[in-house]
Amino acid sequence: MLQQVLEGTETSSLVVIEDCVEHDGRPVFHCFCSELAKRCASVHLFHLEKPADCFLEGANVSKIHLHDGFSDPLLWEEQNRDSSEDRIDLTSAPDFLGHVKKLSVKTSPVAVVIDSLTPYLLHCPGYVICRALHRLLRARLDSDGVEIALVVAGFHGDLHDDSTAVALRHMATTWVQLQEGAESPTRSREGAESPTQDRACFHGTCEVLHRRKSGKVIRQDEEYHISAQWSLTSRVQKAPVRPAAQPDQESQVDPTANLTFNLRLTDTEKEARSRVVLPYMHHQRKKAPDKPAATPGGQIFYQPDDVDDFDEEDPDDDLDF
Amino acid sequence: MAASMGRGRGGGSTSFQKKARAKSLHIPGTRPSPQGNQLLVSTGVPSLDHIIGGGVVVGTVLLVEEDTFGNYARLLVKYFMAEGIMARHPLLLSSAELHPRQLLGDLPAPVSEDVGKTATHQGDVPSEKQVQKEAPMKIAWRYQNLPTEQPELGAFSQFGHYYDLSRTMSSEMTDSAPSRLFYLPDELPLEEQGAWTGSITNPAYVKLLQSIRDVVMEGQFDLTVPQPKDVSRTVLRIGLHCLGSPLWGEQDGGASHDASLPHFLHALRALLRTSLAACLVTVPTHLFQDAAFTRRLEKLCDSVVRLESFAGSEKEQNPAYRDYHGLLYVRQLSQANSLLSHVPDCSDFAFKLRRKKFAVEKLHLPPELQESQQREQDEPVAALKTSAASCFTSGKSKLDF
Repeated sequence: MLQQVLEGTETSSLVVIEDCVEHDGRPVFHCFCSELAKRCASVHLFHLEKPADCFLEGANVSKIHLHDGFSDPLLWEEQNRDSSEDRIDLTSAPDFLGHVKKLSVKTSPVAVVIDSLTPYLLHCPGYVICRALHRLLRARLDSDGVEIALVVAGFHGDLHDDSTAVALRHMATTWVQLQEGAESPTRSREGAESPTQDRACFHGTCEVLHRRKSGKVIRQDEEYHISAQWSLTSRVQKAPVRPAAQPDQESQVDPTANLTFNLRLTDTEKEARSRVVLPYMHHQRKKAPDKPAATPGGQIFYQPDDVDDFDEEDPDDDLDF
Repeated sequence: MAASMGRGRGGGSTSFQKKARAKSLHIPGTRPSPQGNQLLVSTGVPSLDHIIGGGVVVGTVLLVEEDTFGNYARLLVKYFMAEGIMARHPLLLSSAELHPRQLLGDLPAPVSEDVGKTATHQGDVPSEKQVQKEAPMKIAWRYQNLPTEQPELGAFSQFGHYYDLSRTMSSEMTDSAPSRLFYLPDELPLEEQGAWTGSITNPAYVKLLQSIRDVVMEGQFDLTVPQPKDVSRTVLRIGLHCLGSPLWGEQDGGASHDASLPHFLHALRALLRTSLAACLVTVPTHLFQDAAFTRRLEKLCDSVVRLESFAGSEKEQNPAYRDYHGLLYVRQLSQANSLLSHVPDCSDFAFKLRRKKFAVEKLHLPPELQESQQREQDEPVAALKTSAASCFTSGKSKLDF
């Protein structure tokens, strides 16, 4: 699913990538940068935690517009900065759309990559970020001059409280939660095949929650692998076998296996058994063949009376007592 | 509440007259409830109407607590609006996420012939029924003639309309109803929404409440103001979609919530009590960390229904729920003008979304068809019990029954 979202075969408008200290999400970001630069007409990169070079290796730099929130977050060097560069002022309210418009060229589709939302969230409450993101997403070409195809935002899950995460999750169409993957034999073998690239390889597991436009919700556990050329492949993790079910199956001892007497039936015996008319079936039998026989004996017409004593215990008269 | 109806006098056989207003309101798309004589409007989903006591009482607020992804709550808003258009009620629709025009443009189309509606209903599942009919029952033959399908809740009421989700209502129809659309980003630009401090009431809610009050006053839905007799009255339908989401500026500051939303609901309820209006609010309560805040919101609305969707959760795989798409909890029902609210005949409901319609049903477990020793739906429970059970099955003796 992660790969499909990255390649655009699965459409999504807001992808939030949650990472944590143990598992850095920047390699995934790097993949999104280089892939979106191939796919979209322009990519706006908001980098607030790392210099832009971290994300530009191997990407088509000409299409990427940078919004710098890293080198001078408080605008101390306002007077001697290059006017062509766009600086982000963290102390004011976040305005993603305003920044995108500043460097906008009339092309579409436009993608926005934000690394990450955490510095913003330290300055203002979650709903302000949600509103700014929503405004970015609903920008239209005719009214705002720019239309955003995809927003990818990073989020350090271990730095914020649950309510912020839940609010962002409410907004996101795709939520990717990165986790450190357990070392598996397949992965160590891959590592052994390409030992020279080992330094540049990243892998891990992630939980993807994707909302389709139709309303269908897909939740998948996946493992991903990033090659040295910053191409990402992901595949669905095989569901771990439920530990409870396994011993249960084995411990099912067949008590009829080795008996000294016979409990099994052959096919002819089974057929004979099915022909036996059991007591509780006699109602049906009576209904079918007895009908013609009943006519010569005369018929009883009975009008129910108030004081009738019906047998409540056996209204069907099928119990033979 | 002034919207209750006086019952018409009988044939005059008795001198007893009920002390009530002889004048009865005849408003299209409404009916008096069998219990308590309240004026009701349909939600657009007959099975939901049945559960909440016939419909939404005019002058009250129905709160729908949204499912995790909001899909089914949005559907209920659409049904509510579509029913309003069919009954020619004026509409007021607000949202902060989707533009209300987008919501109105995607309403389910009514099933055109109301006469044929029962036929199309039964026509939905003819094949399975006939297959089951063929084999005569050998043992429990008395059940032979019972219907195999659970009848839809409230299927026999002639109230409300049926809709086809696979088609959308034509634009002429949606345009025919007078509507007021409230899209928060248009009504209140982001710059003015600002970052407000906790002591000020959220400007977004203030603005919305003002708009509702304006519509109620201008449209002469206010019952405290005497109206000219010749004007035919109608009911205002208010749909507030996804109220209290982060886009409304709901503060998610951990333990304490801003009091704006409870204040808003309180004011809205007071406003509706004296007017000919019915309101459906959906609130994503799953976003609120504080359960007490949710309880407070529930207490400030008249009827409360909570949706829980199975999408993306573990319950999706649970075989006990495989026929359904989610659960519906009735938290509270309207007690307007009576001591006791309607009591639904069971408390476990589930909803399912078919291709053409959304329906609420009584929750029941699927029939057991496998010859397994253990029922499937017991598995989650059984998993917990294995430690206890293992002492019985650990012995590998062949004769261990």
